[in-house]
Amino acid sequence: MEVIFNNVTYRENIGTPLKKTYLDNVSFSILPNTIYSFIGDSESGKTKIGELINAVISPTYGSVKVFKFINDGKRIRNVNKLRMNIGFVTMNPSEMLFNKTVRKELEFGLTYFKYKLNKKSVRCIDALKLVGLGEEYLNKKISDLTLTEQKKVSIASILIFNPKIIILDEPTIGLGTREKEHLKKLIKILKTKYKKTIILLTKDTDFAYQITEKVHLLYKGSIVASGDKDILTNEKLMEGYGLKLPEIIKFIKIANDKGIKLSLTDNILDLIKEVYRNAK
Amino acid sequence: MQSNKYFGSFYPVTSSIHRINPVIKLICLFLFLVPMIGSMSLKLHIVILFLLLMMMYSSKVPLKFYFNMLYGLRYIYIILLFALASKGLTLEETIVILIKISSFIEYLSLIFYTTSPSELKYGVEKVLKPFNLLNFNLGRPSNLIVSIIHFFPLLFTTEQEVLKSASARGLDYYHGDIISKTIVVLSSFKNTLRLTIKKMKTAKFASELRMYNVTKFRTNLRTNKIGFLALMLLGIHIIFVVYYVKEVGIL
Repeated sequence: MEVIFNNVTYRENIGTPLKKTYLDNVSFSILPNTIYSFIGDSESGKTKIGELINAVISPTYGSVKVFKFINDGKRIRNVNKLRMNIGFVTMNPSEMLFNKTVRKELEFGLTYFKYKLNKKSVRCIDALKLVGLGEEYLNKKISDLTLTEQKKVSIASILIFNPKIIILDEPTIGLGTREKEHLKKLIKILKTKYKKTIILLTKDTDFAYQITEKVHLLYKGSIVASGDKDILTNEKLMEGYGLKLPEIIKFIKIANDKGIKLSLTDNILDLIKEVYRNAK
Repeated sequence: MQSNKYFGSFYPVTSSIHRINPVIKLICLFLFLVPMIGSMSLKLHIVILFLLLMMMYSSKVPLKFYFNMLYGLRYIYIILLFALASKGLTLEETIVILIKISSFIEYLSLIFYTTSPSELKYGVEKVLKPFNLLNFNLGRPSNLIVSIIHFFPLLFTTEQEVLKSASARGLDYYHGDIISKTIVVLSSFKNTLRLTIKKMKTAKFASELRMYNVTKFRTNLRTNKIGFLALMLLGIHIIFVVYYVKEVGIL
């Protein structure tokens, strides 16, 4: 187990009228080299899960165990050893990118995690290439980049220090179809080639269904369903918690209702092949 | 790791202080500044501090929201104490200066917590209304004043974001001791300042686009009427100014 949440409750502004419970008695564990999706509507507590794993906040009750480190409100010694194994990409890149240029942003993690590297520039270029950006971006100002480019730079800024767990908070917001496809490929490469654990915090069920292996469904700070990605095909469950059924599943269900038998798949090409076979 | 994000933002509850007209609140702030800047009387400062505490209590904003800010500045107070002692100031003068600084911070916090940004803009524009006689464009200056007023809360919010992001990438703030925390804040300050100025410009632009008429007058805002409490508060502030003026010997 890489991450264990043990009855975690997280509240803010306790003792004031603005008191808010983000997570309520949440328990789960995360296995290595697996793609997890935490799916839930707005304010379901997804982002707080990422922040708790990264130890930038502490649970009000309960504990979060990440590798050998325990985040239970007490001071964590050598917290950087924990954080250099976790890459957390925030939903809004402007919250994450604070340096002036792309080069400084990428080198930030390497500098403070004290990587002894001579060829930082080479590593920066490699990280940019992984997210689909060219070398020419190195000296660009962050403020001159578009939202999509900023999103890519924020992913590159965590890939550069090679973390074991990668947390992506709403990774598809602001991305076009082509960029989503590229991100999907990148996540698959990170999982298969580099043996990373990926945690997606998203409400984009279409995207999650195509790549995820395990799903936790969140609703108002509690986990309401956990298991394989088949959960995402349960229409009643999804609609009950204000989530959209993946488009591919919708299509298959409509076809099945009309008597055209199509088996469940997460790949659009497989679906086209099956439709073609049925038509024959 | 206590959430600090409400500092400087509007606290949405209904209280007697929230119901006071924003124009009166701003006039009271200006009147409050007169004895605060000029007077060195301990007696007057204690009375003003008492009034401020009463206002804070009746605003229904939890007192810890106010004191969080003072707590955050504790090291600056200690440094200031040493600096004042080295200047040869008496104990009474030192206490007065400390009351001045903390009262000013708390008064500003009170205004922020109890006045929504649109009301604040309305208030600033109304206070500047006499300039209409000179055919002066009020939209831009009042927008600028409100942006400046909101600069420090925005700076704190941005600082929180930068610290969180920097901590996630090796420059830890949350689990360090006081020396490492100071180093983190100082090393990230340049970036925080740059981002804050950028955000302030964006907010100012958005405000102009959405609700601000940059010509002579803007859309009228239906705000709280001037009631008995507002007049009473104004009266008390005027008494403070009169006391100060008498102390100085103008009257």
